[in-house]
Amino acid sequence: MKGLVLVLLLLAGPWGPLGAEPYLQAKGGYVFSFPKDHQPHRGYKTEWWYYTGHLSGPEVRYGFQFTIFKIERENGTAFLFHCALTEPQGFRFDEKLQREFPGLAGERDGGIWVEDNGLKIEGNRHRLVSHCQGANLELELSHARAPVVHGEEGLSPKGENPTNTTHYYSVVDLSGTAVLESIGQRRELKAQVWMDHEFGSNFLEPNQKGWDWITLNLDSGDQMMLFRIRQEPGPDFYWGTYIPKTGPTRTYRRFTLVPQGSWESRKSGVLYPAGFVVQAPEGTLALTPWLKDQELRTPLAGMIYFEGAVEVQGQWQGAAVKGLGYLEMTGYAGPIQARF
Amino acid sequence: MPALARLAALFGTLTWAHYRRKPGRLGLALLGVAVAVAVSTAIRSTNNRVIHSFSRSIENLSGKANLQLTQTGGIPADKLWELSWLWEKGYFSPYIQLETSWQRQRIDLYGFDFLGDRRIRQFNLTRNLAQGPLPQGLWVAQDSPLNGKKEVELVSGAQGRTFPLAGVIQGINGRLPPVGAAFVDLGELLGWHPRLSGLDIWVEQEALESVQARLAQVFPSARIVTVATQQKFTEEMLQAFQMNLGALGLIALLVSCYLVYNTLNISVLERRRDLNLLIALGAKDREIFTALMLEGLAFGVVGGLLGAWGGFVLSQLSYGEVSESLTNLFYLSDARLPFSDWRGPLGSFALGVVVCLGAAWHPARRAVKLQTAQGLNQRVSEFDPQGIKTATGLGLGLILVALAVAWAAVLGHNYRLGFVSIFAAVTGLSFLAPLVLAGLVRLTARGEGLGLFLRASIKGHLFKLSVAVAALAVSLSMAGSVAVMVHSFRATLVNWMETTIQADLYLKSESSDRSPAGELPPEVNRRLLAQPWVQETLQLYMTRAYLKDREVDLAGVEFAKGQYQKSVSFVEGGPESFKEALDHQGVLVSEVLAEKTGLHQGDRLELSGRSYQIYGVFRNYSSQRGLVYLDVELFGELYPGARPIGLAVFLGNRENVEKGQLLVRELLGDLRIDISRSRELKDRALEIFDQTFRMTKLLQWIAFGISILAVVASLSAMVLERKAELAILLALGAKPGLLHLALLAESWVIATAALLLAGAGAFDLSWMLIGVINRFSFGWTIVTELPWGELAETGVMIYLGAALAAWVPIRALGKTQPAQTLKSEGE
Repeated sequence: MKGLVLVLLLLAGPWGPLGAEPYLQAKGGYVFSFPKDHQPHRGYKTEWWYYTGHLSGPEVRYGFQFTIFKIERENGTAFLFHCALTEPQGFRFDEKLQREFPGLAGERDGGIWVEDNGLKIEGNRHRLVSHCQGANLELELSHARAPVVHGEEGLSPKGENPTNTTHYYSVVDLSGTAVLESIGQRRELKAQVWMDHEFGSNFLEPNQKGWDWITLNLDSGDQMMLFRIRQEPGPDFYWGTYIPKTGPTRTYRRFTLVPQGSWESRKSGVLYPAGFVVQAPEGTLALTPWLKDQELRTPLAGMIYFEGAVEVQGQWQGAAVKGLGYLEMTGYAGPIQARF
Repeated sequence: MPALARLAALFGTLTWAHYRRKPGRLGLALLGVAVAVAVSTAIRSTNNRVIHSFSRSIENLSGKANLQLTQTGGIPADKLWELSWLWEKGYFSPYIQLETSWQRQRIDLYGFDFLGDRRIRQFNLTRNLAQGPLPQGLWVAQDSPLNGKKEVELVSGAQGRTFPLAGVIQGINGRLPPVGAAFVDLGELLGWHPRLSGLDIWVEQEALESVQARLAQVFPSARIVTVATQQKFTEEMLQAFQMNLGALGLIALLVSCYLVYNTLNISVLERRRDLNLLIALGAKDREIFTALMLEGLAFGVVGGLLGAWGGFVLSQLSYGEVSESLTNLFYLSDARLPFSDWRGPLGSFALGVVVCLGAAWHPARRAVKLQTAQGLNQRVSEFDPQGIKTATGLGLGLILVALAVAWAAVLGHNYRLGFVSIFAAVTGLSFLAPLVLAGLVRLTARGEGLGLFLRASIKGHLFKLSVAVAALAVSLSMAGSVAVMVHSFRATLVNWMETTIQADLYLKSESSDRSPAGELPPEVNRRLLAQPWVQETLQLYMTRAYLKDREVDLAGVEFAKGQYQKSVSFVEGGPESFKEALDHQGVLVSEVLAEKTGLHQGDRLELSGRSYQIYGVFRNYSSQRGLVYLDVELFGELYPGARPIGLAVFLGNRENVEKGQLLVRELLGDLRIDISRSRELKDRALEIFDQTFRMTKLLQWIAFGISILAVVASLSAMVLERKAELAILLALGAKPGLLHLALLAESWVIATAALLLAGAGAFDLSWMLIGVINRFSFGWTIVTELPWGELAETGVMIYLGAALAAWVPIRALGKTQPAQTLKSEGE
């Protein structure tokens, strides 16, 4: 879901028109098989690998985003790379857009690359290389828990229209080491990472203006993926997956996201919520961004959105909890469809 | 009175008052300077603009990429994965460049990566991309001939492909896309011509060298050049062209120098009485000298300004012509480039002023040396044996210098020295004019009557007339030598084509004769060989290759075929060289390449990382960069998958080639192929040749026109100076017709003297042009062949021109009133 914003812009953007296409559709009954399903799925219009996480070292912490999108159209395939780094001293981000072509972007040696940014998944090991506005980040990660498949029969709905769906799974317990080179300094850090991999061909309806998407890692060991799609007219569409520390995961819809205050970007003039409160029968969680300004302005994608590390605090299942999370807010720079 | 005011007064009395009475002469002198400066300006400006436009074209296409990587046979795309390290230093973009044709007009089609290429964003395509439609179809410049079309069919590789017009590329910051180019997304071309032409690479300046070195490791046989080097190659490529035209422009200036000299000299002589009166009244020598130098300066400034303006107009006209020729010959240029380079007009203007000052120096010195008594005597003979000796000595000295420089040019293979030698030789020859004129008078003007008149007249005005002779001789030398050179070159080309073009029909892609756009589908040869009426075919493969940094043409030909062996004319080696090269995987090189690289038969040539023995050097006039012949088998090994770009067809029935041509057309009707008979091919080659030398011819005639002005000026001055004498003759009953005849005879004596000098000059100049300048700048052997018809035509033209020159003073003489003239003479 997280990459939806970028997918949308590319749907009608430079790489092709919306509409009649002979693309594969995300349909029920899809059975995921790993590690095969970590690799690109040809025939779907859009696919993304979305890593967000937290890096920590002695007296320092960072948040990062690493995303590769694959966009297939009639006249070829393009790859888009977005990255962001939340540092104590500020926020930096970058983007790269290249056609699938040797040396520019595409699959190589079992990995997926956009220029010199790439990811490679072998078994339960994930290797990421990112060059983000002068910050070079390399991550060596592995996971113990099996990938979490969202929804039923491998389908994640994006609204009430049953055809607007994707195949969507997450690896929620990636951990390992990170080497960050920035401003002439090299740091070795610990990494806790969430990975989303999603592919499909149909997403939003015209009345869907944007969404707020959240991943949460609570101290208790419970994890959540929650989003709301803001619809005008019509009530917002809420959907998520609850991943308890132990036990089976379940589709989770009994929650609301309540915006808290507002923050206006000086660079874009866009007004965002300054945070959210998750309200659910299990309790209340307040999400506060590490930095107010974690806004990406990406001209190649033609989008302005917020993607940032958040702290979580509140009461959950009768106990005080803390945690870390990632928050994406889109559509605040204007209705997405209207932009194209 | 302050010095400046005195000088101004002197200038007014001496110059202004004088030329107000002589508007014709003033006009002639100014016209001479102006025309010469205009020619020089036009040449310099046109050249500067063409070079500038070339570099703009390169810059616009490369988007200021600072490195360009190309490789013979194209870049293998998979290799690009090995460049991931480059993203840290900068970025790169692959491209495909194809020469295509649209309605037989050349269009350079560039397949850029519309998605990732940052240069495309500079042409405002990004906005269009972001706003909507797919980047399909062609993008062209506003002034492109394709603009406004709905769709266009471009032909490449014998096949046409229709592209819809997507839009117009808007330039930003004054950078415009080239008119003769069209842009399309790389993805659309990959299916048509899958080989990448090259990579444009942008890196920070400090990383340039290390990136270049690392790239060379990844692509050991590639050519990796900086854009600055690329530009240097372009300039070098045009240098010989520029030198040839520039030299002709300078000769025109030299001729005009004689004209100004003559005008000032005559004016000084005419004003001797005024000058001496001024000296007698206290004017200092220095002041007289300065006033006359100012006169020269005024000629230079006024004539130069007129010329610079005229040159600007001329350059507007000639730029299109020259850039069209160059586009045909070399590369695309941007014909809309506005005139912004003022170095051409300013440089020529300055040169014009310097030439006028130089021309004024001697007359001004002469004026202050005049003795008062001599000055008061109007009829002073110019016949001065000592002066003739001095001029002759100077002339012979310069000719010796010319010979020495020519010798150095031959030894050093330096065509620039050839130009220096030409200048020294023509200047030296012009100093021999008094000697030749005096000798001619002694030989021809005998007896009484007309002979006596002629003798007296020519001897009395020997130096003035000598200058006219010199001007005429210089321009005739130039005209004659260029005519000899062009004719010889053409004749050599015709002979070479007769030897080389022996097949009945020649086939090539409609779009281009170069790889890969000009490649013919393999079935063309198969289909032809299946026909009973086809006796044999010869295939020609071609690509560009690099010998170190030098770009050369590399051709794969069928060494084993007897028909081919017969069509090559050798400079070193012979037909057996084909077998030797075939047996030992060796090569043959063209004379141009041998000249430019110093390689000969027996030497080894390093090409794309391999070494080949050279088994022969052959004549070839089709490639200016130099040509290497390999056998087709070897070519195929080096460039797997390459296809022929040309086919020569020998018909079974050689009597009816037209019918054969129709049969081939019918057979290959589904392909876009040019099928030419050998005659048509030869005619087309000669047409291009003639177009190339059109500008040269124009310059020849301009220089000739200026020299005729010099003769008009000399003869008119002579008549004016002797008008009292002529008036007495008329008063005594001399028939005007006889005097007219005398003037005509004088004009023809000048023409004859000029022809004698020009004969020697043209001999020397044509030898330099053929044997030194063309040999060492282009590397071609040209067999001298005299254009008798053209030379005779020039002879007739010069006598007609001389007659025309005599007509002006004859007309002036006709208006002479003897009584009135004598009266004014006596005052």
